[in-house]
Amino acid sequence: MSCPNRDELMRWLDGELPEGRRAELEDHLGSCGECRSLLESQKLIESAWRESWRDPDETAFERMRRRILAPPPWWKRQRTWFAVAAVFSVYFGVRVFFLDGSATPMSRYAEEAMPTVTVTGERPLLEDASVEQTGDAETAPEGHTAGEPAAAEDDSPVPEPVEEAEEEVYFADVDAQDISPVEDSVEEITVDSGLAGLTGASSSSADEAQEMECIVFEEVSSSAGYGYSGPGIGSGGGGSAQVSRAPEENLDDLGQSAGDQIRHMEMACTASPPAGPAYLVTAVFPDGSADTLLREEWADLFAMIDSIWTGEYITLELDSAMTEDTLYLDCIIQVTGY
Amino acid sequence: MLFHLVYLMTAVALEEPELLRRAVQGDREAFGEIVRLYEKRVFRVARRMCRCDDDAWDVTQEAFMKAMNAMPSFNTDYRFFTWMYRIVTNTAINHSRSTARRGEVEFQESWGSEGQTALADTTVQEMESDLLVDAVKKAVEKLSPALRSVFVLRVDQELSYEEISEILGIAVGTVMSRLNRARASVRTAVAAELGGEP
Repeated sequence: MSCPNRDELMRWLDGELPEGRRAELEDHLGSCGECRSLLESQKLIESAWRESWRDPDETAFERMRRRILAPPPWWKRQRTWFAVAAVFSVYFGVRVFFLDGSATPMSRYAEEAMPTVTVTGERPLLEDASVEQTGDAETAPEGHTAGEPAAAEDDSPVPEPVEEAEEEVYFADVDAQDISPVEDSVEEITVDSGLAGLTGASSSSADEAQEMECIVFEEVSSSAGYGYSGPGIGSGGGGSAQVSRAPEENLDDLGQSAGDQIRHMEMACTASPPAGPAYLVTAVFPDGSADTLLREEWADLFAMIDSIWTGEYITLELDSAMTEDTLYLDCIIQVTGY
Repeated sequence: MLFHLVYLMTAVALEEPELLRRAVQGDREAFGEIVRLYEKRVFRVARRMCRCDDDAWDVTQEAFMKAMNAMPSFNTDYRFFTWMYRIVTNTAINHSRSTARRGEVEFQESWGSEGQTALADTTVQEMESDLLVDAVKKAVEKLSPALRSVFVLRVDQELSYEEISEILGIAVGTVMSRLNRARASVRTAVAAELGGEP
């Protein structure tokens, strides 16, 4: 047998040569001094290097262990919280300084136990109705700021209607995510308090009727959408706009897109909606609060609105949709005349 | 010495699964015990891969910290030390690349795997051990990180080709070819250092 190549010799040295070939090579080594010498020198080199190793002093390992296991510095430990705090600071900063509103967090609704919706008050007086649309959500009336309507004051009693005094109804954009395209359709409305015959409430007690919250009150574009026309909607009266469903992008913006955050506007529903265009009212319930009971209660609310107003002032069309964790209850209101 | 080694190995075999389980759950004390069990072997690999003690300590510490941070995702079905070998080897390779020196030599294909004839076998067998060790250390330092890692894992740690393949994420054939090239380079460098026959 001729001398094997060096690769094979090294594989033999490493014990990685297949059984049959190893026997052949060992036979060869018995008779080849050159190959034996090569292997011996290789072993000597490697064993000298391997055995020259001396472990460092134990104290060096102890020092290293302390460094490895030492708690990270505080700014690294709390980095996540700093990031979260920064995000919230920016978020609320934007809301405070740009939207000038103190939002009612949706979690608050989730925490509330099944709000009982009640409607109190008298039917609006048609002949005294006066509706002023300012078209500016930022100019909330005195005593209120945009985004902080009376509806947000949970325990405040329902104000008694006061003759001749103006009472404000406005729609406050309270969430940064509500910025356009919905924003353009939000209107601030001022009506005579004498007409304020309807108060939506979301309290647990009928005696402590509170103003309705968690309602998106959005003007439905008369030109965009899908040409929806429900029974009675768009017929007669002062409401001359052609009723149609809200544009798809608006619906998306109302939280109907998957995983979207809930966004809403608040409505102090102390008066009838303005004449003219139709409105899309959407009640949105996040995080598991969208159960059947709640849905029915809100449906009842709209039904009550309907019973008071329908045929004389407005027409309603209810539409609801429920996703896995959110209920969308849409109510298209068409003012038919005052 | 032998008793201590057997004791250590037994302790590792008995304690490691429980320690790993706890470490995966974020138990720093358990991870500290794992560090204690493996620190010498990890440091040895790092030191063999690096050119000085300081670099080796840095690499060892960094490797353990990487392991600690990655523990929550460690699959306890795998062998910890294989995983740890991979971490320390890659850390050392990255460290070596970032501190590459001009003295480092890549294997020259012209040497071929037969190039080890550059060192006369009789020269090795006749020289002083200390001189030989110094010469080999210098020769290993001149290897590229890729060749050095294979050489260290095989010659110093005496791992099988299969284990080296798993640790470095390369084919067994690549392990063999790199190892042959590394050995040829070392022999050539030792010959040059000791004034052996070209």
